[in-house]
Amino acid sequence: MSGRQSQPWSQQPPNGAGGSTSTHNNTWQAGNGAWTSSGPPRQPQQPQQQQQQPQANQFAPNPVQQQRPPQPMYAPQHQQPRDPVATGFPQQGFGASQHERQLSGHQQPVPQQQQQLNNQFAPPPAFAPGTFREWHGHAPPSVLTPTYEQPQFSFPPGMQGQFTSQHPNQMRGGHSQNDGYSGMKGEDDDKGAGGGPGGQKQGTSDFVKKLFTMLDDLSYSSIVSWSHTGDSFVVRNMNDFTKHILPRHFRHSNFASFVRQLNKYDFHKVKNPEEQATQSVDQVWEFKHPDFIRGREDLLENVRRKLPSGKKKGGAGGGGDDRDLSPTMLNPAEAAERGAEEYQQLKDQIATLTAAQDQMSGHISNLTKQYQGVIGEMLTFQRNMVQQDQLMQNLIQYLMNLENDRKVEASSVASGALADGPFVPAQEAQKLIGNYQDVAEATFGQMSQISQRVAQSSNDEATRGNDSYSKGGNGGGHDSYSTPSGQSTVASPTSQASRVSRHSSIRQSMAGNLSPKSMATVPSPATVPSQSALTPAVSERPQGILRNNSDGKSDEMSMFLHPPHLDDDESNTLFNTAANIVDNPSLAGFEGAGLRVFTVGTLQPREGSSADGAGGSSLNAALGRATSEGNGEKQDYGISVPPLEDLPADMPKVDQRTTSTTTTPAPDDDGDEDADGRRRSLTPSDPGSNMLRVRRSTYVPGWAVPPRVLLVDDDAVCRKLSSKFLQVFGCAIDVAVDGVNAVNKMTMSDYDLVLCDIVMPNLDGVTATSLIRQFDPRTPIISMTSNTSPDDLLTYMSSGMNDVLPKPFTKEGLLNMLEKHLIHLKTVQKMDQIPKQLGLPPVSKETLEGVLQATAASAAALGTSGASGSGSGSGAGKGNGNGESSGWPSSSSPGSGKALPAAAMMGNGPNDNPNVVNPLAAMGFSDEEYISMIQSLLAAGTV
Amino acid sequence: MSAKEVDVSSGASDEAGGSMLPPEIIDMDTFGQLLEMDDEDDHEFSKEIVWNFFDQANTTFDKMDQALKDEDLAELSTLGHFLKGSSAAVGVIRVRDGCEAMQHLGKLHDEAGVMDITKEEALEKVQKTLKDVKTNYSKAEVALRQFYGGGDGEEGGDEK
Repeated sequence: MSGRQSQPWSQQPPNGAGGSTSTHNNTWQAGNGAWTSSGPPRQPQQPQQQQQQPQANQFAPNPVQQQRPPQPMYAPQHQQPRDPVATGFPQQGFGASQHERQLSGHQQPVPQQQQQLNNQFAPPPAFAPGTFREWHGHAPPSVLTPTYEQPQFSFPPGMQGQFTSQHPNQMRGGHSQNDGYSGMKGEDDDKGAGGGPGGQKQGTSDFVKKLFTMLDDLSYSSIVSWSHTGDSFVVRNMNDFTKHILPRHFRHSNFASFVRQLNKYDFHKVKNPEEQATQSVDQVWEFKHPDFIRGREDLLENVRRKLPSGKKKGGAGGGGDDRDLSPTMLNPAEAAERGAEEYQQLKDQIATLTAAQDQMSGHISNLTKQYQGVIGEMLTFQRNMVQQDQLMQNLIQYLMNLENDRKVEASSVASGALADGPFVPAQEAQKLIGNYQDVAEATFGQMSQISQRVAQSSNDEATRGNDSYSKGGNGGGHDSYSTPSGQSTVASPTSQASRVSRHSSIRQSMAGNLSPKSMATVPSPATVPSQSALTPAVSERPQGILRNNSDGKSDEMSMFLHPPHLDDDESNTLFNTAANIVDNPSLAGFEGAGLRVFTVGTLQPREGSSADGAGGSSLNAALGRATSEGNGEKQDYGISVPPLEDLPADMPKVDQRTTSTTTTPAPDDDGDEDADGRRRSLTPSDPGSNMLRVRRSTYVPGWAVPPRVLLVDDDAVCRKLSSKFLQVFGCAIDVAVDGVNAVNKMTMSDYDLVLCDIVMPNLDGVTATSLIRQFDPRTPIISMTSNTSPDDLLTYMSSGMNDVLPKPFTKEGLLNMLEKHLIHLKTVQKMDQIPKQLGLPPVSKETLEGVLQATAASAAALGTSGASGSGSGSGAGKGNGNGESSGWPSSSSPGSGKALPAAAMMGNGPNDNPNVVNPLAAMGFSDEEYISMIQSLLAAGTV
Repeated sequence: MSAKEVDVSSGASDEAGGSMLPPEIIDMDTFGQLLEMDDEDDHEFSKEIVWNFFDQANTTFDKMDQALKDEDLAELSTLGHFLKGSSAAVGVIRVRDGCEAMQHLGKLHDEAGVMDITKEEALEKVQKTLKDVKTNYSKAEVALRQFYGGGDGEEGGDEK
């Protein structure tokens, strides 16, 4: 028992306020000890005792306690040993129970050992012999622990719980008063101030007062002071505060205790995020209480210890006392203190974490922004790359054209360059393109269409057999010469045959080769042009027939069907002639012409097509032709070199005639005859004419597949001129005479481009475009009109047109438009390289493969550029200033139509970039050559 | 490119007998482009175009006369636009300008297409303009026929 009070008691020797007080203290101290040692409280019995015991302890003298007979049995037992001490030896009893020597001063000498204690208590057994004996007997002599444990032993097991609960009751009143003080010096202060349990209720607690005073002391302002607002106080430097101020005012140096105390009085820590973010949280503490305000001493009364929390009360059941509820409360109370402390720490931690998280999220959002910026830049960069690619392609093409031009001229003057003649290659390239159309077409998703067209073309050719008689008369012989000749030079096996019949048949085969390709460009069988596209081949047939009778014809047919097939004789002769050609310098220019012939060949049919129903008149012409000896002579002559030159010259003639026949059949025939004569006379030396044609063909863009263009115009003159331009540009042309016609054609077949007049009878171009856009949103439609006011342009664009080609347009303007909107059909001019190696047998396989790879690569590049272009159809038009326009394939989107000036401006940008890798290196151009080419190109473009 | 055009056109005119076209009547930029489409040793293509134009112009003039008689200004405007296109394509600039004026007049605008005019005014002006256009056209036709040489004269019969 006495051991219980040992700590408080011994620590406050000066506090001997009086017997009752001391007793009181002892009591609850003992209870405290009992409680702590006894472990879990027994709640059921608390209520009764709570009510009674505290009061007894507080106000009643010990005898009162003794006078309570009705108390549970164990109570007397328990108190009995103590009572004598209280009454008989008030101090002694306690003193004896204490281990401290201090107290023993006015007491009997107190044994320090437990055994002595036991001995000392031995006499009291007189008061309660039974119990004490038991207790005594049980107590282990060597135990140093407080004696209160011993009573526990003395009780029967069943009683133990009650007993332990009783002790707390006794001390509860005082202890609750001292909540939070135990073990602290502050406790003493408070107790002293309160003068006991009742003191707390009146006036301000000492702790609060001290705190208030401390804050008023300005000398501490750097360490602890009121906050600016005065409704809280701040410990600015925890370390200093703990070291210097706490000891002075509170007689301890435990900051945590101080904080706990504050918590007891319902002070709250004030969070200051800024401070937390900037300085050590540990150093600055701010506390706040609603009634703890600078200069308001009167409010201090309201600053009290917190009441026990609700859940403690709940545990107490009906216990109305707001003080202590039960022994169980003590544990939670301590836990609460610790919890509060930890709670503060956690709160601080959370605040820190929150701040950190804020920072992080801010940082992340920054990163996100930067990332988006980077992405945007990458997109821009990508777009620029595409633009650059297209520019480069244009440059390459332009340069190749220039180069071709130069070489042709050179070859026409100087003879030896035949083998190097770019045109043979070019022609071969065309063939290769044809062969590898699949590649390009697959890229553009046109494969199926092409194959369809090929099939159609072959059908057409077959059906054309009959027509060939009539049409073939149109100087077809000349055509056939020219076309085949070009081919023969290109495709080594098929050169000139010695016999006319062979010759023509071979030519036919060649034409057969050619025609499918050219036919592939023809949009639909329904169009007249497609049939006429065959004219070259067809025209040869009549010749063969006329000359070589029906045999020749059958040969031709077979040849036609199986182009590659050649008789040995033929092949021999072919080789011979091929050798001739190679050896003969004069052919060089012609070979160059051969390339043109090819393009003209594809074009020619369409021209015929534009002239409707030429059949009847052409029949006459054909007959006249056939009978004319001049042709025959030519043909015979044709075996040798000179006629070869002749023939290309004839080619265009034939074109002209077919068209002219439509309008004025009779005079045309005459004119043709005249022309023939003239031609023949010119043939021997006709380099100039070749040159001319070469020049014209230099404009031809390098289409991977001839673009199918629908030309819509009601004006025959314009229509014819435009068709001519388009032919020259290597387009497959279909024509419509008004809007209705155009819409119908659009529904029936696919086109790559539509050139549409605006003012037309029946259905104007704008309305037609609107109609077309309902089922075909993609095909570029370009308005050709002389009405180009802004309002008109808006109307055109809003109807779905992609661009405007003001009338009267120039060839360049048209070409720009074509290239702008048909860039996806263009091939890289590297193809021209192919023939160089292939033109002369034998062909090296490696080079061929190399070329093929390059072709595939370029096709792929085209495909990708096209794709990306369409993806970004933002209307950022690209054309370059030098007349080689490059356009987005994305013209499909109506919005991509842009003002021409803008396009021109945009286009100039990439030109300025000097750091361009030489893309022609693979073609054998040195960097110097490339740069000079670029420079000349730029010069030409800017003029 | 322009250099080549010049080559072609000059070469062509040489072949055609050196007759130069008066630039005030024929816009050589446009017409040269047309000639450029020709083959090296004749002008069949351009000639056909031009002859075609002659036909078209005469037909249109007839229609215009009729429309004027009917006071059908809308039709006149349409016809003016139509002939404007073809004449522009060939490069017959004066006819082109006249037709453009007629196009505007037909819409009851003044020649420049700026101000509104009354129908009477329009008809009056159209009459005068049509006359001018025909005159200019005749000059151009003569020049063009000359350019293509007298040998084609038989086709000239179509024009009237």
